Amino acid sequence: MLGTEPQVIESFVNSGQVKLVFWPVLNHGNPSVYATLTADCVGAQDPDLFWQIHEDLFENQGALWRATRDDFVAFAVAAGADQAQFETCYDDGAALARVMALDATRRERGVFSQPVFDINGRILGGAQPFPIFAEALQAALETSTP
Amino acid sequence: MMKRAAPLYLCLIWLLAACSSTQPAADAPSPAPTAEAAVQSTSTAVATTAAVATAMPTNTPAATAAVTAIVTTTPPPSPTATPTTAAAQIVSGRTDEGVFFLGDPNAPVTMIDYSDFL
Repeated sequence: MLGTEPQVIESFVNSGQVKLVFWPVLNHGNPSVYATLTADCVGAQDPDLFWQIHEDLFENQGALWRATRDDFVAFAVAAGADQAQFETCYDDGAALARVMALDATRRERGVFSQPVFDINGRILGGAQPFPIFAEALQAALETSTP
Repeated sequence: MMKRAAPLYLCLIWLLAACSSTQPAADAPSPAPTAEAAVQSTSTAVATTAAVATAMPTNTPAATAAVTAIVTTTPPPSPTATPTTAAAQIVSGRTDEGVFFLGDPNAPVTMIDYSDFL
């Protein structure tokens, strides 16, 4: 979700009204797995870097289908991650297990396509225009307990 | 006696005249310092401070290079360097479940984005 995300962040996240969570979905085989593993290992160094590489990966989505390990290392370094730490994380298996477990959890929750948005329990499926998100978020704010 | 001393007196008078003509007038205004002179003055002051702090002779090439670096690498303050209040409030982190979030951890609304990078 990159199209409307900047507007959601600007209008609702920056003001402290909304916490935005990225939950990985691995629906496209190894390219999905290794792109998500890359984001996880970069974020393990600094959560701010996760949001940087999250943007970078979506912007270069077309290149991810054939991306090699070296390509993912290059993405990580370009985002500001330490290369040696990143490679250790990428190769040691623990982060891979975490990513696979998160993917299993979303299936247990009944999420089988992407993108899917859960706004305080209200589910929105598919890429929606910003006004739809704005309405849903505003409604959730009005019904949330202070 | 006076006739023999006359050339000597003449020489003395000439010498006095010659010496007095090379001295500037005591009340002549000094020229205003140029920008270059001001930089040199600042450099000298910094060099003196550096020499005191590090016991490095100020006339070495290293000291001169250090002074040059101090004088030339200080960037001017950027008018856009101050972050906005809203931007400064953004928090990022990882939940206990292991996923990454952006925003106030205690925000009244949580929006979970289930997405694939592909």
